[in-house]
Amino acid sequence: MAGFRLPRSVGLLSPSLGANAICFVVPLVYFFVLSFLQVRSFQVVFDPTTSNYVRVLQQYSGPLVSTLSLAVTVAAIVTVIGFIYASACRFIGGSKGGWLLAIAMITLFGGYLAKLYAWRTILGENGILNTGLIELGLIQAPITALLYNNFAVVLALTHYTLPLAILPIYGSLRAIEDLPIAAARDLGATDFRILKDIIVPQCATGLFSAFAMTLLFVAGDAIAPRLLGGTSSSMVGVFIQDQFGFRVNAPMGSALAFTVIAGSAIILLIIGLGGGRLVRQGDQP
Amino acid sequence: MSQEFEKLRKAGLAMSSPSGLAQFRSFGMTTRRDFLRLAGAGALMFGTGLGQGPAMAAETVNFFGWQDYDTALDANGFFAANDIAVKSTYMTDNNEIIANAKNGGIGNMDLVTPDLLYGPFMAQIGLFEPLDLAQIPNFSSLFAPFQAMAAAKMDGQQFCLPFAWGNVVLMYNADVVKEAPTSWLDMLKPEFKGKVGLTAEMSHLVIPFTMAVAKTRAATRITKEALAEVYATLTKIKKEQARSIAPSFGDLAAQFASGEIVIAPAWEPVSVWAGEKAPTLKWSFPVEGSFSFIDNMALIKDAPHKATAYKLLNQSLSPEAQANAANKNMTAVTVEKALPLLDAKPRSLYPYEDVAGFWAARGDGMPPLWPVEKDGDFVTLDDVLSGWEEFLRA
Repeated sequence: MAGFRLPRSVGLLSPSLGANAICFVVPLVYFFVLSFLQVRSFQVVFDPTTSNYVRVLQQYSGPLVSTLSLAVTVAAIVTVIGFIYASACRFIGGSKGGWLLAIAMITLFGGYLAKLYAWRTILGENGILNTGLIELGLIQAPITALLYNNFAVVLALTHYTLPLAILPIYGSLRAIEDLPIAAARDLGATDFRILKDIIVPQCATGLFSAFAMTLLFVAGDAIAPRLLGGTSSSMVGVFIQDQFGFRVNAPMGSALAFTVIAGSAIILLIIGLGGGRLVRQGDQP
Repeated sequence: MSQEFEKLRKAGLAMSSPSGLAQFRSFGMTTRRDFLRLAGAGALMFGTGLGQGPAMAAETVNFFGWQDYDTALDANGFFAANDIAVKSTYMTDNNEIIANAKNGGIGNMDLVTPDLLYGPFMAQIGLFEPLDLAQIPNFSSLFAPFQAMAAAKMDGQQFCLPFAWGNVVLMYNADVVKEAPTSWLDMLKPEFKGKVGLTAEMSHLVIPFTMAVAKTRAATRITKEALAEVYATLTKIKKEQARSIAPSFGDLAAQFASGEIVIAPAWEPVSVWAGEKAPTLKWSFPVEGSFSFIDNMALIKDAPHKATAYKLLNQSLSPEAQANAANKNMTAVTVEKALPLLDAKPRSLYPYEDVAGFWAARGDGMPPLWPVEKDGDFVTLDDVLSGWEEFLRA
């Protein structure tokens, strides 16, 4: 009788699965368990409780809602702009499509903090934008509403996450064959119909990936609101950072983080189900 | 012979012998014998010291504290001259010292840099070793107020060595604000609407505003009602007057420089960090009182490298290390002999002409930490921190 042999694919996948388990699953489980513990006299004590989650819902519901709303806003903007740009790369750019994509990727150079400070330089009272508008005689005094508010946070996060969102959408668009599009056009389909019935359904996975990546990045960010947000831009990431650092309360910080993860997962589930239904409706004649 | 084999042969990846056997070239694969040979060579190199980088220092001291305080100690190549290496981890808040020491740091960490607000509490809960001043001859070089400072001692023993200090002052743009403000509550004036700066430093806001609102110098011994009033005032300033909450004093300096704010509770070096082209920045010490911080060097209990750590503690009070720290970080020095070594800018920021008088006006200089456990009607540290979060969420 032949002995049991693991499929070859399992063996090949095991290094990446192992790395994923060690770097992602184990810390996640650790922090999840931690979120049910407590801190007394600056030390974590094993006294399981759900009180951290109760406190999160009682005290942080405001920042939670505003954070997730802002994350959905940025993710929606980025997905739409990313789709337009990726479509241009795929369908209009022709042989130059790769270059257009490379240009988008180049904007990733310079790092996150540098981009945030650049936006401060652009949007500040003495910034490039205000100075330019004054020089052109379009305004008399600097517009103060450009910086230190949610507008500035959304703008900077959109700028940063856009190239990351373009990639999965472009990848999906590359898989769409030209033939069905040409056939639809020959049969008299409008551009909108082609977009709705052929392109979007076939790149739905890429669109969802772009939306999800952006949402998760923004929902956990603590730096943009600190640097560009105003006195009322209290995103949860700031409080998570404070709990781990300033309050030395890792269980509470973990509970906050897992609540954000749960909130993001619910949003993605709704978007995924809703998007799937739309795609299926589009498939029907 | 197959076409595929011929292609490999042409590429130099395969060869055939007259016997008909074929040999293929492999990349990256190592036989067991090769591996053992490599491991043996590695062990030999390790044993003989071949292949190592620079010679290892005699002892490595584990430092956990503010960035640049460690490198300041290396004035005039002190580390190399004394065969010392320093392994540094940087903190972002004093509370982290407590958390790290209690969660495995005792017995592993050597030197930390608590301020004198949290330092006495840390000594009280047994995180620090009492210092043997016989091993720190430079202690006698400290300005007299720092030698005598009660907060650095417990039961007659020294636990903290004052290393650097500074003050929370009411800074203003003198090009715009023609009359120097005299009270922290001046930030509520209508002319400063949208032009007030705040920082996310809890003690730097709560202590001065407690002095102003609750009208007491014992700013860390107040009732819940008084604390609520303090946060109500701060929230009013945040919502109605402030431009933003700067994440650091560097950011606050940038806001002063760009003209986005004209008044803020700040630290003296902000006037330098704002740059040469910034508006004229001046500051006042409000009549209600102000908060001064003193950062210290302290020895963690059961420090594993005590003898070397003592060398560094003594070095921290040398004129060279003091001047190095002040010239780098714009902090104030605690040793008089460092004054001639200071650059003009850091020297101009602090009242060095009468250090004793300056600290005498502040009583002992430092308020104690808010009570950690329930203490009569006084608010606890947890009450203050919870209120701070509520203030940030508001």
